[in-house]
Amino acid sequence: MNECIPVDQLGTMKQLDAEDPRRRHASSCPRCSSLLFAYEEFTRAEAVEGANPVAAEMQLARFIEERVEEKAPVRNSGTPRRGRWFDFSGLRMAAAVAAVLLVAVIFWQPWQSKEIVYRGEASVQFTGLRATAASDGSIDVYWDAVKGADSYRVTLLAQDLAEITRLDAGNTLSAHLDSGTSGGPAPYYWQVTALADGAEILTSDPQRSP
Amino acid sequence: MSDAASTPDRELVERARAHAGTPAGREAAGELLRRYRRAVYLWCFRYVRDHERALDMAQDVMLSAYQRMGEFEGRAAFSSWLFVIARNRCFNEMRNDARREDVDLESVESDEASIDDRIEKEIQGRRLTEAASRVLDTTEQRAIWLRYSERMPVDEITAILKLDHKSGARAVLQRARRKLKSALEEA
Repeated sequence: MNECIPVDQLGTMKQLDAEDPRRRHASSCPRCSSLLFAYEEFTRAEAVEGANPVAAEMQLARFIEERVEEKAPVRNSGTPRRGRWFDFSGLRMAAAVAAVLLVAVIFWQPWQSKEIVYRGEASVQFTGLRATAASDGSIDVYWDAVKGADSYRVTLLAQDLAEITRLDAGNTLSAHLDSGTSGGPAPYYWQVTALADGAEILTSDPQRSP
Repeated sequence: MSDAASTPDRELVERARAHAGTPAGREAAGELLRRYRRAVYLWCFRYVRDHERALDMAQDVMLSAYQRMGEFEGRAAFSSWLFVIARNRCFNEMRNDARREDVDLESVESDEASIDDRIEKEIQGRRLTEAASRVLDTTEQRAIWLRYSERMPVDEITAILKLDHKSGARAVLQRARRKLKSALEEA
């Protein structure tokens, strides 16, 4: 298993010579050949029955435009976007914001305490992930509580995202990782997994150590 | 219009990182994500079989990739880095689903539950890898890994492996489990 290919290196396999040991390993190892198969399926992006990739591509393009490229929705262009029943601008925008705030204050009644109602679903993302480094090379990592979790586990990952070790953090919301624990040169990565009755319910994306 | 559409991934990554926070950097990041939006959506759809839900998941993946682009060092292909984020998002979604249903339908049959547990625990271990390469054919290996490592729904494994048989991946998985059980017990 030591020579198994890290998942994020799968994209480089095609560029390797046929006699490269990594490529020969990938063709004979069930784990690596299956992962490579899954990755190639991902990049091939073949149509899936019931999916609507055309609509998805349009909606995701708009999402990327607005959230990543931070471009304002196009107005008065040659090809009009789907009509909106409102057109915020200038004073109308200010009036609308004031009206919304007024309605919110009337209905929300912040001076009265209200019971918070949860939908009973687990969070889909970790929040509050952060790490602080000490001069001795150790780091402290922190995260916010996940609804439904009764314990947490921190996993140390090498630069290629291969797992180094795991630490049981119990039901605390932090862990201390010293240089001995990391086992390898910085930067390394860490991720936290929320557990309920021993079963994994949520895992964060890998976070780079400071 | 810039030349972003014809620029290789690697150059766009460098541009996105070098000009992070500027219009040029955002445009490069946007172009990179636009290239893979269909792949990410379809991969998510394979897990949840619901357009709106897959779209939400794909948006999460896109945003997460954008926010963490500074961590991507460019030693791997951008597509495989994005694949890691997408599959992580899908795993979390499947875990939440499993918790809501409180039962994994694949584990209902008690005689299969114990080997399911062992496969789950040993999926990254050398013993299972060796046993799989010794006793399973390529289709069975892929079915086992897609199910237990990628956590993919059985119907989707049927589709992805193009299994025409009536019972699809279910039969392949049952056969593979029996073979693995024998192999692990002998070892």
